[in-house]
Amino acid sequence: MKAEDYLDSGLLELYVYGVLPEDEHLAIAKVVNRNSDLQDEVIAIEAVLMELSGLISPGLNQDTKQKVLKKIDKKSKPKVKIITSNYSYFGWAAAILLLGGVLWLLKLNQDLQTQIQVVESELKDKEVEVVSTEENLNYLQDILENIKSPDFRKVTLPGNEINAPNTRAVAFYSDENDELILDVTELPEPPKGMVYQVWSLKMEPLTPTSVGLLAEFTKSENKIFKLHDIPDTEGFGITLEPEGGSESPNLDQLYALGTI
Amino acid sequence: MQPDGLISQMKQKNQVAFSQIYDMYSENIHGIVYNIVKDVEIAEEVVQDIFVKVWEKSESYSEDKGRFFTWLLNISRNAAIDKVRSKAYKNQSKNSDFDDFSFFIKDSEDLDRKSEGFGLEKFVKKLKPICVKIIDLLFFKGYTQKEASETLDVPIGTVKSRNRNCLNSLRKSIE
Repeated sequence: MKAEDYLDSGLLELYVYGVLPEDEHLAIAKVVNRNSDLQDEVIAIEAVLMELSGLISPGLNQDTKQKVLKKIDKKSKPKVKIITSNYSYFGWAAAILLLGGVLWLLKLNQDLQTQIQVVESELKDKEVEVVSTEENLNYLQDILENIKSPDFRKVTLPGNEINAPNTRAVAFYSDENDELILDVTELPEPPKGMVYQVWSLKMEPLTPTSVGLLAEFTKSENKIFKLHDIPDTEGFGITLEPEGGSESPNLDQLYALGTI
Repeated sequence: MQPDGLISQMKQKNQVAFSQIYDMYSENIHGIVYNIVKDVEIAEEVVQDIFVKVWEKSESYSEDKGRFFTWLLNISRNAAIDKVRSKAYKNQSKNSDFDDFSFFIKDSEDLDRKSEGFGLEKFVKKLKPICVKIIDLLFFKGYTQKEASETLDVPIGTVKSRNRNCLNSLRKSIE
């Protein structure tokens, strides 16, 4: 079939309608694409069909185009969004869990730090206690060594009838070392602002010489005191004096008195 | 002429080109679909589906396969026929059967159309009933020559020549 034979055959109309068998359709397409007369004819046929079909439309709703554009816009976008959002749920969950875990660890760490501080402070207290106990022990051992020595003489100082009845103080005195060890366990606690003062005594005439204050009386556990540089003496007395001590003993406040 | 530039841009997923193609063809597609489904709302739905399909399948069109208009026609008629066959359509459709497209052409006095269609409307009204039938079956409904010859009870050899004569008389009215 020659190209020009198609013009009047009626096949071109059916070709534009799209109702020919596929092989015939493709064959005509090939011929038409090569021949401008046939192309013009096809365009003319198409024009009348456009007119005709346009006449039938009752008018498309204006919204239809927007709906179509919205649909194709949605289809044009990658679907990654949904996938991301799924993963992001896991992400958020993991982040929250991690945050919870970190906070829990921080709290745990803080608690442990506090415990360590408490234990450390307790340990320090114990160390101090041990040191003080050791010191005390050494002190007592030293006293014991002294007392055992034949240089020391024991002198009992009976408690004053008025101020400290039924009590006594015990003194260990060494001439050679001029030392005095005084056990005042039985004497009552001095009132606030007052202190025991120890006197060395010379008889005829009675001459008291201060040999020391028992300022640590209240704090001392053993209530055994060691005094040095004791002058030649014939006896000892203990009086209650205002804090800081006195020049001469207040005999009204005599607590214990004894002679060698 | 067909808009080859726009078609090739649409194939590269250019939405602006697609939008212009919609403007050029949507009324025609609507006419074809409406003539088959015979329901304004359903026809609108089908037109939406068709243009979404056009967007998705645009790469499958090539000039070697024929006219873009023909490609559109085939998609449209198939979509409309599928709709008519669907269960949803049978439940939804409110319109009764009308024989052919001439029913839908309104009198020119009622129309607010451009003047170019003016003569055609009057001419369609004057077409012989056999012409209306043959154009309706072949062009609007996509019947093959054999199907049309059986439906109209005319010899198969005369279908394409009769169709050409009928269409030619319409062509004269717009030339």
